[in-house]
Amino acid sequence: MRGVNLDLFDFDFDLTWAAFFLGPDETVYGRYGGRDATSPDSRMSLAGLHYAMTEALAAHRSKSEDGRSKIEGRGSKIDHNQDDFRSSTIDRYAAAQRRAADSCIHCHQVYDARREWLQTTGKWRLDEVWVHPLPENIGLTLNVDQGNRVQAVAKESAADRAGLRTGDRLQSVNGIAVASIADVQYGLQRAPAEGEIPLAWLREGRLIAARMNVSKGWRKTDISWRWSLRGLEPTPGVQGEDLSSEEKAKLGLNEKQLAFYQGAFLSISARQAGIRANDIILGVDNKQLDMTARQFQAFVRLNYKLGDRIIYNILREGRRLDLPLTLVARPPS
Amino acid sequence: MRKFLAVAILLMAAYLLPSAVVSADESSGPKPAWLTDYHGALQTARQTGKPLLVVFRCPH
Repeated sequence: MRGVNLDLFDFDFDLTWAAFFLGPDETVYGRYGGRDATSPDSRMSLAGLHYAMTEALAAHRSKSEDGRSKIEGRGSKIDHNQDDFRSSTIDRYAAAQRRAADSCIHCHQVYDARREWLQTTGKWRLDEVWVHPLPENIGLTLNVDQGNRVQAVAKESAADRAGLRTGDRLQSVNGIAVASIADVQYGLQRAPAEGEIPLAWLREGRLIAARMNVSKGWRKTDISWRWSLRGLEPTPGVQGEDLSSEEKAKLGLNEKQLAFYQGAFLSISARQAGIRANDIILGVDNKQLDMTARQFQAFVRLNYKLGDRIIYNILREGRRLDLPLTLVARPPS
Repeated sequence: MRKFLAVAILLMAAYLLPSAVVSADESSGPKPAWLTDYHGALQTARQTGKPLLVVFRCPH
């Protein structure tokens, strides 16, 4: 990411693949790419890329005729810069300057650098982790092959209350013209933590506009897949592989319940707590947690603070143990 | 941006695009000419009037 204009190329930096459709004057016609916790390519398809690209080309052709796009919101210049961080390249930030000059800076490290910068300037809030919300966060399931086509609307969701229905074709979200799920997520990314989000959609050739109400916490979703989350402290101090459904059943555990084998590598804090390799981690503080080992990594980061003392509930050779562990900062690498 | 930054730029051939996309899973059709120098690609886009497809890839 060295040298990349973060103001222009403002995208979900945790993605493994992201694309922009740009005019020769660097006008953004659209975006493509996206994922969720289920897999890296769950929100992408060749047909979906083709669809979004066709819309981008239509905007380009339309614009090249008279210098302005005929498609509302598409191809118009956007003020991408929502905070001071993105007003430059990654190279100016301390996190980048600590790295060797010839070393790569991966996309997700932009989020690491941004978090560090926000922490340094006293602006960091945990809510900053809920980036690029999924359409499902407002109750929409979108068609992967036609990223702005509504496939389903969850009852009593924000989108439902705004009037969206299956088959509608979204035209804009929060002022951003949309032809892909990535466009929709970008529009949602710029939306407020609570309040109103303007939407427009086509139904049977008719353009409908509405303002959708979202309440506090609407951006929250499963972000355990995000690589940038690994830089957030505190780390749990334990990690490993989930037990299989059969293994859980043999132990009389619920199928969805957290249960993972502690791996061979033991952190200093885990060793100090007396945790051993192959211990089965069942939870913390006697809470039964329905989640995977990966989700547990996110759970601790999002619900505890450095210095917190937690009790790990463990199964070792058929015996239940409660081992206290203090969440400490990682040693500098 | 250098090639190790995993950025690829494709000048979108506006009228050939559907076949260019299809060629990703079919052996026939034109091969996309990927460029890895963003500023060079931008200059070419300005000279030709064609839009750009800019792709960011990351190994993680």
